[in-house]
Amino acid sequence: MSRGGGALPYLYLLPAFLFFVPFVLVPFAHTVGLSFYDWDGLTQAAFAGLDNYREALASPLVRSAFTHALVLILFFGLLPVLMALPLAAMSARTNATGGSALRTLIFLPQAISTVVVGVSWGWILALDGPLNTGLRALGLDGAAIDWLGSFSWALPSLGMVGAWTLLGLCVALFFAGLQQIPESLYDAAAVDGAGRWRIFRAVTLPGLKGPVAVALTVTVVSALRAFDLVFVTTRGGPGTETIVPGILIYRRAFEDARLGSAAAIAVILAVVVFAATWVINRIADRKPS
Amino acid sequence: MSRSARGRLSFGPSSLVAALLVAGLSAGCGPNGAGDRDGAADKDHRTLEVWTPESGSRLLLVQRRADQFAAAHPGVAVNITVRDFGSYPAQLKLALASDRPPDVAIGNLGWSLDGPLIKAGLLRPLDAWAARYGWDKRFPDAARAQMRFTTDGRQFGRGAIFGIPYAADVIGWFYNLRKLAALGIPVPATLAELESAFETAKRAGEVPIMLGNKAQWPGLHLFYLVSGDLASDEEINGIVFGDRAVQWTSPGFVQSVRRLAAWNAKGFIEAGANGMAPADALARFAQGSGVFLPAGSWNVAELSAAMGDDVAFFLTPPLRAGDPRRATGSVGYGWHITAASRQPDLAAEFIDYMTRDEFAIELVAGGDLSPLDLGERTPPPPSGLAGDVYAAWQSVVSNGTLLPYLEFAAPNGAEVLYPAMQTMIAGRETPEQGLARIEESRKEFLDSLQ
Repeated sequence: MSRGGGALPYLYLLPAFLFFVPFVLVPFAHTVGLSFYDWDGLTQAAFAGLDNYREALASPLVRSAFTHALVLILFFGLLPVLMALPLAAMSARTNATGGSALRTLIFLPQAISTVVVGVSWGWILALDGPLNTGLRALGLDGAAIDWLGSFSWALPSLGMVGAWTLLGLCVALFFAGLQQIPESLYDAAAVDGAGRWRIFRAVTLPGLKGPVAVALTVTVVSALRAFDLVFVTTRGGPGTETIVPGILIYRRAFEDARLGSAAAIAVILAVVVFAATWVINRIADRKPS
Repeated sequence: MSRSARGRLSFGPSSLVAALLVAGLSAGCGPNGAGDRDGAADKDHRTLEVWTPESGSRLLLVQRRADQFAAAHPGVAVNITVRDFGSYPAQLKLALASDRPPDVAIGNLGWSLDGPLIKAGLLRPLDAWAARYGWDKRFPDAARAQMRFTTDGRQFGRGAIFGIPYAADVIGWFYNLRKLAALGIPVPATLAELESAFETAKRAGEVPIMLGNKAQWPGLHLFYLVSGDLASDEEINGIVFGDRAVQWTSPGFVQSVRRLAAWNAKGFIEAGANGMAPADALARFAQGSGVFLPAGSWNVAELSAAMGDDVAFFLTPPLRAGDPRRATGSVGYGWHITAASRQPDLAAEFIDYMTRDEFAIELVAGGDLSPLDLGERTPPPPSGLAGDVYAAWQSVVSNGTLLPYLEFAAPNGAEVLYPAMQTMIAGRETPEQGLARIEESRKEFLDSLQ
């Protein structure tokens, strides 16, 4: 590969960089700076060193917010990916009519604003909502509960709403990825006498490594920075059962006027997000042994 | 008079006049203006910049009175900027810290807005004008502490007068008259009778207490309806006004929480409360679901429109029949003069105009509550429900049994106070544990003020 070009590659980067610096890097650096101060947004900020970080790491509330975010990763990330793989594989490998209609239907939640999703699911999951009406009709009266108001079920319910939203994105990504796998590989595998499961494991799955990494990155990040869905459906409640870092940051910054503390949690969250995406991409880049 | 409603950009002729006036105002900051507190602007053309988070009928009233003020003061324009209640604190802070701060602004009680602004030196103490206009005597005793802050912004409830109130609110029980009659329950005269009314309603298959606690603060408002009876003045005022000798773990609060948890355990509280938005609970109650609805006086208009004569209001009945009822309420947030205003005397005149009897009469005539005792000038309340609420308010004011909102104690409501209350009511945490958490957070806040 030629190493020529000199400054040319950087020139190509320049336009994006011009936006990236003032709108991403500078605010991020500002947030990091703010996290070392005790500031109410109005009076003189006082340098606080690592106090905000110490307080955040020691606070049971902050810790439970991050724990909830980790639980949401299972629902927002793992579950949609696991469900989308067979769905995409089936709809891509069969010529059954309705396949594209099905994909459109599954993708639909992605096209709806999160606020609408949250409000609608709020009604569906209410104590006398359609879900519970259905359960009661089946004679499962004991299973009908106030899903989003339950101290035990609010977080999983929220997770399921997220999974429902993100499933379509994963199916779309995987379906696109499947189109890139050469048909000859499937033919070769079939000639070698591989069954469906074998073909899925030996051809489909390795071919989808890239899209899976992308899907996991997007969904895991959306789980970690979850705010809008939680704000609309539960506001962190009942109690603090669905509190997530995004809600805490919002409250401390805009309601409690503790900007330094909010910034420190935001920085910790950013570090966790970087770490998670790094791990996902390291695993995806690994050469098959 | 130039006034752009909602403060949005509107380039009508009046805005042009306003712009010219503002330009003239800044041009007038020459040597003549320097040192003259009230003389920075051309005396003949002055614009008073006013900020408010009001909406609905109160906003209309504020705007109408502001128009009248301008009409009565030739050469004076009032420019009202409206921001929605939710984002108002953040926006006002920015406006006050900017190069073009308003002259007059409505704040919010306690630490959510007034405290930080006073601490930052952005609001003026109003004592000099209070003496001139009689603001220090105009309001009921119970309201006076809420108007005060120390000038360093570290103590609420004492010190200088900073805010002049103009409206009021009180929390109580709305109840469905028709259901009460059908159940054969007389209007409860004691707390015990109220509890037996819940019992009767529950047995009849009704929801005794309709509650939408998804937003988490309605649970605290329900708590007020019990703590008014079970906690003492010393306990409540001590918490609100930063007395360290008083703590949340005090017996009155422990008993209040225990009582609420018992109500919940007995099924008195709507089973789906934690997943229900406050507005949904209000709508359900209006549609005939639930016998009692714990809520604030600000819901009168909506409920009387929806339910007509089927709805009434009372304050939590006392422990002993005939004792005066105690209730949580406030004289609402007040008008402030900003430290940056170059025309504080005009601002004070405006505030006086906006808080006089004439304003109060219009407010009450519209079904709202006023902090002023209008005596014989009180207009007849327009409907039964508004009449109930007005009488309830008057009773706590004249009996001196108005209690301040406990959430004024610290700005930790959303993070600690509301969730802990919800957890305790659900019985998932003992009153002692939850209240200790709330107290710990309050102590941290009080320490941070040192």
